Amino acid sequence: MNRDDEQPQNLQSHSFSSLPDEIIENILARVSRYNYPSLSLVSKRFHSLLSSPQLYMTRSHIRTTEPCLYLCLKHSIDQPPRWYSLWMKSVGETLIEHEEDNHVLPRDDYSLFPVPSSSSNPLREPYYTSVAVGSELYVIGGSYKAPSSAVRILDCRTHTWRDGPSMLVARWHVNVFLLDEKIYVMSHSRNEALDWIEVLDIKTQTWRHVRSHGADEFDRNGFVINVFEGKICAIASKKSYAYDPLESRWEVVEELPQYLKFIRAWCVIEDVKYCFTNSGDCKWYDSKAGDWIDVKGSDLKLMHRHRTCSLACRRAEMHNLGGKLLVMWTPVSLPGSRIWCAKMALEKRGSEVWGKIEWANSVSQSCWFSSCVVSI
Amino acid sequence: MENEKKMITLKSSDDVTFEVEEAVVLESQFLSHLVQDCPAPEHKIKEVTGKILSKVVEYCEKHVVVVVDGGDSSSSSGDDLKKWDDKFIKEMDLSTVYDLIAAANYLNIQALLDLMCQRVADVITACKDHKEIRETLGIVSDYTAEEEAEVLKENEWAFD
Repeated sequence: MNRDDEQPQNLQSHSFSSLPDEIIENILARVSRYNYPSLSLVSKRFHSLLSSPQLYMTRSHIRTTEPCLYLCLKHSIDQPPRWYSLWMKSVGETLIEHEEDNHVLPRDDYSLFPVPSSSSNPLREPYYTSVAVGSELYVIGGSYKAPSSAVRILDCRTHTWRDGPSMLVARWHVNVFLLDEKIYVMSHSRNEALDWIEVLDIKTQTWRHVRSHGADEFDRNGFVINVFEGKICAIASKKSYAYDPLESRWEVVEELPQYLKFIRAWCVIEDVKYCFTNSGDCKWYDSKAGDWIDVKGSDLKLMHRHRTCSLACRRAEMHNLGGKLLVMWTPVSLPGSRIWCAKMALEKRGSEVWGKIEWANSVSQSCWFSSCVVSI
Repeated sequence: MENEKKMITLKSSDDVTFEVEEAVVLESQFLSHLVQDCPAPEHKIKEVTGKILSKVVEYCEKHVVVVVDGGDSSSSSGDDLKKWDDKFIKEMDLSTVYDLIAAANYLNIQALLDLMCQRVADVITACKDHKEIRETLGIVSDYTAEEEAEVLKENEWAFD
């Protein structure tokens, strides 16, 4: 081996700071977003790279996006609703039952990060419901008092708002979900027979009506809609329905058992349906047995019995948060309207599903809430 | 077809030579273009030292062998490769990691670059705060006290 004493300058060992921006960005994109506030204190270069939209393109390119929970809270009837992202900081405690006085739960830490207001007149903005499209949040429709056809889009990477294409009709209390790169909206409108369903093609950003027959059977009494195995499914108080797009018709899938009471929310995790009832039961659907089965686990039992957070709820929402079950609810046991949130890991053990609560806390006092999970 | 394997010699900046199969060289986009454009038996890589080039060759040889042996890239060979990668980076000091990042970037070996970037990301994640990150990565803060307070304020919701 020959040795050459004349080494070029650039062959000194590299330091971290000598690496080019695109490499540092590749590194930062692999670190959890939850570390970003602390990382931006390291140096101006870090701060600048972390503030750039390019970083989020890299995260999506190298598939390091993380699910993030967005919450819309209305603190009082006459105040405009406000969006936040909820950062759950797990402290790794487990639920412990306190003797006699069982109202002490581990208060896992969290931060509510306020999203800047949508416009100068937030009272006129749509807020009722939202759906995630990648790292964007589509906020759609109005309330009973103020139906709206407006759509606003929040880019969760930069926290900037823009107008989306307005719906064809003004709506209130909409149900919304994403299927095959289209946003489906179902709700009351002034002319129910014709325009109960409306669909937004995300690529072309155009709305069109979709015919629907048979929804009047369940529409009046409340229902929760979602997508399961590529089909649009509605779970109402007594039956569940699936939408047949060829016939434009809602078909009954099954009669729900009496003991199930009212299903407040449902979602799908790894092809299994999970639901949350107003009496506070968390169940999964065993398709072989054709029945809803309790999710097992001492944490759930403990919370169920709990005085302040009792799972029996007035309102609940459920999400698949990166494979974990996220439930938000307003307990009936509380006189005010505290909103509780719990994150649960699920484990299949033989023919049972067990849930372990990894994070739980009361996140806000609010007269109304809505939530959505975005990948950033 | 059982062809005789074509061998290529790589020479580092400090003239350390490595004789490798052509398939190994093809792991690098930069080198595959070089070999195609200039079919010489020996190629000097002025940007990379012998110490680092030996690591690059070690990585590429392992990855070529596993992909070829695995045939349909079965999951077990994938797991083995992952274990090998973990071991490969585990005891490497950070200054070698930076040099390998620069080499992988120059030679355009995406998988090696990603592996090394992940290693640094894991180091960052393990730090408890921004001061420890500065110390570990050898970064000197260019913030004034006021500027740092400003950034802290920007993110204060996260530090409650």
